Amino acid sequence: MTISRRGFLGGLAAGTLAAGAARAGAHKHFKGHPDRLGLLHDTSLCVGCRSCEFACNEVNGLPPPPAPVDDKRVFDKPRGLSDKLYTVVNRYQPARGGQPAVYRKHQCMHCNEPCCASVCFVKAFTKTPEGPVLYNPDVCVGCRYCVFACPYYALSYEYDDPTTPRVVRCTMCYPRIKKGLNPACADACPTGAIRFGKREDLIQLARERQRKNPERYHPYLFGEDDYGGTSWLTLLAAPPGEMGLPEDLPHEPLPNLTTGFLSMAPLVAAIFPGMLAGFSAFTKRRRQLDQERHRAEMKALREEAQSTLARERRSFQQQVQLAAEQARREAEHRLRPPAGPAPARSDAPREEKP
Amino acid sequence: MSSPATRQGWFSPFNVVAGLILAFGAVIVALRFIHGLGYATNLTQTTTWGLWTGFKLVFVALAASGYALTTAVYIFGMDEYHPLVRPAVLSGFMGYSLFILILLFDLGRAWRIYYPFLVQPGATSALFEIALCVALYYTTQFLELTPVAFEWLGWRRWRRVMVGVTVALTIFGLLLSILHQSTLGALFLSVPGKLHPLWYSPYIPLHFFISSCVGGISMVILLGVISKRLWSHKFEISREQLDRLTVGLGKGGAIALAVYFAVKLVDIPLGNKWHELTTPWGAWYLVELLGFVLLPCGLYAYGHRERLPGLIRFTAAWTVAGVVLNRLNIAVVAFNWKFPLHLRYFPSWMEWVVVLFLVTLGITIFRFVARNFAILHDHPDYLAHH
Amino acid sequence: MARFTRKAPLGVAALALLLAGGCGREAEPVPPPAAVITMDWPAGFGKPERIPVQFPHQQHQQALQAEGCQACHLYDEAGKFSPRLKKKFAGNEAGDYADSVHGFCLDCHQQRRAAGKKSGPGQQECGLCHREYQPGKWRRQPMFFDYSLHQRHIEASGQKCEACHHLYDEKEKKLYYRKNTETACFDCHGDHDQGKKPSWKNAAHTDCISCHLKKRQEGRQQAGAAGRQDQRLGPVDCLGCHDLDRRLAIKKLEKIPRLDRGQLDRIWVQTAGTKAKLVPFDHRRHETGSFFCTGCHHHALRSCQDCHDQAGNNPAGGGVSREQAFHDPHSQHSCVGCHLAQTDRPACAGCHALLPRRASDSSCRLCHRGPEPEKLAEQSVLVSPLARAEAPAGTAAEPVPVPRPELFAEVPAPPLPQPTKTAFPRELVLDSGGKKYQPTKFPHLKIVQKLYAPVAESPLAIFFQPRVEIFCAGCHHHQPLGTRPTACVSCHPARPDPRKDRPGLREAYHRQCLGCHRAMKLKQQGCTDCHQEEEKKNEEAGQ
Repeated sequence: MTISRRGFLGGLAAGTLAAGAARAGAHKHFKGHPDRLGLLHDTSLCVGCRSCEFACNEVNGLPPPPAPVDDKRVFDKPRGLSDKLYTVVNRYQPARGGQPAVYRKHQCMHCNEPCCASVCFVKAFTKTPEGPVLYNPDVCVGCRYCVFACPYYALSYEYDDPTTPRVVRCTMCYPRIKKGLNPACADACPTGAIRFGKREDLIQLARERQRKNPERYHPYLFGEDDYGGTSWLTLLAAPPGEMGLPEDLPHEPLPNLTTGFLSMAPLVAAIFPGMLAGFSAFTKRRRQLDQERHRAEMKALREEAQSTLARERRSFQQQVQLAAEQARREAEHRLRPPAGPAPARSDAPREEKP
Repeated sequence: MSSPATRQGWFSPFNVVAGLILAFGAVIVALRFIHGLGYATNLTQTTTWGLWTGFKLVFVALAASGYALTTAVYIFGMDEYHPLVRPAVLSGFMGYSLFILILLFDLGRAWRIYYPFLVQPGATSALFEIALCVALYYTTQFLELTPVAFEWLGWRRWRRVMVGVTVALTIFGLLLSILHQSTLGALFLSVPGKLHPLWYSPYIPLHFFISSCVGGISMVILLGVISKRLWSHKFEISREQLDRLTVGLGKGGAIALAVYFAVKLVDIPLGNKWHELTTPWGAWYLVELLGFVLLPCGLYAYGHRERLPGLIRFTAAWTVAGVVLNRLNIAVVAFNWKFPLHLRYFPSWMEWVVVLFLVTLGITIFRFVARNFAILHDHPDYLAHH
Repeated sequence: MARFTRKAPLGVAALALLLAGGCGREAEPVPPPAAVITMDWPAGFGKPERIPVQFPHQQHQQALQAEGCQACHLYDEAGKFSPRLKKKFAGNEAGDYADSVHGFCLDCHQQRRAAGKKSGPGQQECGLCHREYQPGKWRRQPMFFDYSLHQRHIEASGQKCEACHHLYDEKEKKLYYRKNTETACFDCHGDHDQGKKPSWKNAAHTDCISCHLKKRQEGRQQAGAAGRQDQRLGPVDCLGCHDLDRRLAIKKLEKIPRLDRGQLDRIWVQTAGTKAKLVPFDHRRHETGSFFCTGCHHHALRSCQDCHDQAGNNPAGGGVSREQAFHDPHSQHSCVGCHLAQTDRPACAGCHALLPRRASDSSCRLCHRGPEPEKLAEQSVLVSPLARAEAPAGTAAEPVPVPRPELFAEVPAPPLPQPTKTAFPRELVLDSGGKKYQPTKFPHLKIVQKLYAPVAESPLAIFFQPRVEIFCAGCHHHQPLGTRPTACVSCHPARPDPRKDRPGLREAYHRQCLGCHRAMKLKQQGCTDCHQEEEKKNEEAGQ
């Protein structure tokens, strides 16, 4: 009995699928599409007017954000993104004393190697050559692994929709970009704190601004290399930790943390069936040997019993014969007539067969 | 409880309580589907995987009893555990059924669950691998349980066929289990900033797999004990035999926990995390590591050496609690640990009700199958089997 | 049994690993006491066995109040306090050195303990002295003088400058005083003792504390044993000088006469070696502009060029060239830096925060308005300085050229021009073509008047804005000066050139206006505070 072909082929099939998965997720040195677009957010110019929030909601068909632009109490507590707010402006107080408060707009960063696209098991996200990361609600199953994994907390889910809930976030106004327009927030910003253009050009521009006015900016351009780089670049007026952004992010794209492990799956699928079949074969062999030994023992026992039986039978037969002989003599002796000499009969005693 | 004298038919105490829970739970589940996830859960935009995800992990970890025992018996030839194979596989099957149910409740569009296979697979995703392996493994477990059904139906030839492929199914099942148990841990590889550094590690997949072995072995011990207690007349092995098996399983548990402890201990200097142990989170981590890994390891070892089935049973329950604690720590407690309290996620009462509903469902179905099918004993028509 | 012993080492090893991770650290750090002095370990003895002791001086001072400073410190023959201790720590080897230190400290602790008083750690309690404190919030503030404190010292010493200021005669090997040579301590005293010349730290602690102690003693003699805890007496504890709160709490005098060190009222700032014109400098005016002489004469009471040479090679200048010493915009001591610091005030920051933080090229002439170095005599007047230091006693020194008084004439603030429709409108309508809001009515005249009021009252501001066009250029930037600046739209079109980093009209308006509001720390404006919302146009009509 060998390992069933079914089991082996099944393992092979799983391994092939997983190998395909690993190939797709393997680490490639792809520098990104050269002409991709991006946005530069200069937080030293942001005055917290929230026109971007209103413009974004209008373009995406959402109700206007809570609190009108004139109500500055909305900044008292930091706000996160939500399914009704694809972008949000928050106020931050730098740790250096005497500095005025600074503002920063938060939204999906449209990473160069987006984690959401990598973790989606129905490939609902696509990184377009133009830069934006797009979402396809027609295949989304609602597992929310993307919302779970995003390091910038940029995705939101429509929890209150029971039948057609979607993952929602900033889309970099992809339809408008395709038509040659600017994203709505870039158009709406009155101070020009959001600038739209080719990502390469924006990086150069950001460096130039930092060079010209070193006191205004923290010497780090957020998004240039963080987790592989993002399409939204942020010129910071204070260190990232003070402005609600994660600090000391590695330059390795985030999906790489998982693909290393996943690429082992085909290896496991290739090795383990054989290995386990080997264990199973050893077990089977051990059982077989046990069985054979058992059978041999039983056979020996049986033969021994048979020979003993034959021997016993023979001796029993002999005993019966002797006993019969003795009984006959006894009977003869008893049956002999008591008087005179009788003429010797020539009759031979009848022989009785035992 | 099921002796003739106390059998009250449909209204035994268990049935009443379970029935109430199931009815109430079903209502809540219906409400969840009518009104959406936001109604039934406290999930936020920053914490989107909550209690139900934690219990997804728990159910799968504890359902490892299936592969643990079939591997022991059919691959490593430990035939003395044969009587426990069917209960273990049944409990494994129930575990995965509950996993699939709670997954369906947690998905935004549960009716699209087949999309990764038939519509558009996203093969870079750990979740894809989990889905594929769980689907295949569920099928495997189902096939492993078909002999039970065939015995009941009296289809001898089919039964013979399925029994013949047991070893192949076991191998396939173990392979799939290794893959998806560890990949469930790999789900958390992509969130280093959100999971507390003591629980986060590049070796999380290994931790999950080993703790699934631990959970599986401990569940088998508990299953044996509970089945013997409740359905003693149906369980074909004697008390003494079960105690022997329990002690033997205790040794397995001790070894698995020792390996788990060693791996987690080595993980601390590997990640340069010693200084984290002196924080309040570190204290909680040590409670989990020392109280629920090291302690049961010692208790298992002691119980095995001194042949104390009572201690092993207690330790099994303690270990199962530890596995639940570990999974919930990773999925809920230590996730988004940096958030201030008012932004943290706390499960809603409806989420707890659904979990209770599912556990009760699992127990009820297990009880039904164990009492009415040849799970705890051999079918009288097939005693020739082994 | 065998099975257990096989497994036991695993458990023991595991426990040991855990404990090893937890142990091997010092005791929990505790918050530091105020005013600790780290006791240095001499370099020649290699690495010390234990971490350096951070000696809590303030604590010892309080504990030994009855015994006084002489419990530990040396008093010289004249009865003068010295920061040196009664015993000198020395040893040929590390062990001997440590013993000498321990002998001093621990003997005292032991004696006090034997006498039943509260005492410090004993022989076997190494970790209680050699311990690490948590980084505390208290930081030792360097002691600094200002005019008020200096004046109080003058009064306390009875107008005797020689009480503190002295020079050293190499030949005679003794200290002496000479008028008009007063300077800061660290002009001569370095960071370390050099032979008999103590470090400036030791010098200061010797002279200052011994004088303060003497005053206290005198005060005690006068007021009896009660002793006065008088605010007017100088502190003898660390925190009294080195704690910022206590330092700032020292009462300030109202009227402080001008310090006379024989300095001239007006001088030329020399520009030798360059082609730059000389700078007439009103020294007298600038004296009141700083908190003390050390505001500008930050290291020594000498001329800047004595330390800062043209190339910056002089080590005394710290590598700073003469040009940088005057023009570095980021320094507190340079001319430009100090002037720029004045523009950080909210009244000024509205414009200045938006301008580049450096001296503008057009302002060079405002300071460099003297003659070329060769033609010094043309605009000079000869003045005899009173009793200059170099002159022999009693004689007046050579007269020196100083700028004419006309160069320092106070100019009144240039008046704002009359409002006109074109050049200086009262009101403007700013329309950047946006669809959301209506055009803004900008009260041009009112804002200009509001911003100009503090300028008119500030001689510094007027000095650098002698023409009103310079003031206008605060907003009307990046163009030649003139009284008819161009409108914003001429350089900031509604649709900006994407190749340039120049904002469009709407962005320019908002950056300029809101940037000014932020820098001046005005209350945050909402959008409708400046412009009304546009009426929503009817979007029906068949669409």
